[in-house]
Amino acid sequence: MGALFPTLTDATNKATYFDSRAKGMYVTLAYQKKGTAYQPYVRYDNFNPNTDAAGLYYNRYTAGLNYYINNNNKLTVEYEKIKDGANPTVKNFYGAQYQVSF
Amino acid sequence: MTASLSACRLFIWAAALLVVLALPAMSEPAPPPTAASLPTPVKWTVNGYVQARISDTTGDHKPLVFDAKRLYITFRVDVDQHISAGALVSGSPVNPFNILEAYGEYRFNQDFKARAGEYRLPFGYELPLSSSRLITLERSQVVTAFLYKNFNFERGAYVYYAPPKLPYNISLGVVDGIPVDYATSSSSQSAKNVVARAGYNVPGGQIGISAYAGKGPQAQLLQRTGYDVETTFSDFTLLSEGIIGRGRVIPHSDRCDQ
Repeated sequence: MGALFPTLTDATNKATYFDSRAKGMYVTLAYQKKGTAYQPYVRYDNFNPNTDAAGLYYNRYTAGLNYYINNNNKLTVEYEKIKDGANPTVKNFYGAQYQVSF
Repeated sequence: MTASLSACRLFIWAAALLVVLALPAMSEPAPPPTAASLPTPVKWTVNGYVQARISDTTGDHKPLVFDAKRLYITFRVDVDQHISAGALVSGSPVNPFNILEAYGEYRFNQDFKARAGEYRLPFGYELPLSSSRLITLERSQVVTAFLYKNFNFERGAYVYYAPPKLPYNISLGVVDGIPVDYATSSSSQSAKNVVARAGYNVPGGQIGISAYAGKGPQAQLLQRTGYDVETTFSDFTLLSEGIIGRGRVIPHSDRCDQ
């Protein structure tokens, strides 16, 4: 993978960045009927970290549900299916989150 | 005679004093103070949210992970109708205390305001949005890789023009190119990068185009150009954003749940 990406190693932040051309986009569609607290949603998300190299892609398909308990409390459950051309071992993801605002 | 003269003088003085004291009451009543004539009281606002999450990845044979993800608190003070200041403080198990935003703002009129300090970049839809308002659990990969884990909060100044009677708005800023969580002591340069966004109102949101150009902390060339759409139709909400660019792109295996 290192040969494909001109990399910049940031020793201070202990991170590696790619000095490459890249592109990506996402589309999210959510539905919430007026007066209801439930909001199902789907998202398609893709990213290519180096458009000069072939075979690299990162596609993520997300489906989830928001439950707005009231103005200050929200519960979210979500599942993500991930297809990573550069790293096929990446696993799919699911989770739930509770949020309290004040 | 002398006594009656003195009594007369005393009477005249007393009458004059009464007239003077009674003058305000005899004049027209003063109009009640209007809201515009009163000094605007200093207004303090504190908001925030806390998130807790339980998550897992399929097939890794590990137990569910529970995270107290973060606590975000925003402070804002409106000194008067022109002058404001704000701060955003975050806390998480990884980074217990972090000041993400600290800025001063001057509102010239309803159309035009300027901000200086450390603030979230006005680029696209998702980046300026608090994670508490995201529909999804995590930000998109393209925003994460190009912006959020790179150039999310920076120091600089920008102006924002949004006339209420017109359907568009424009942001234009100059920033230093150093992410706020970057160790500036090791940075070899502090650039003057440019960030701009133009938005047009549509039902339920805006469509916009954004650009960012300059140099990164290691003097590499940075370019980002993007579009963003937020709109509603019937009971549906549609969000979309796309970015192309180059320089300092993070690996796509890095997730961003902020």
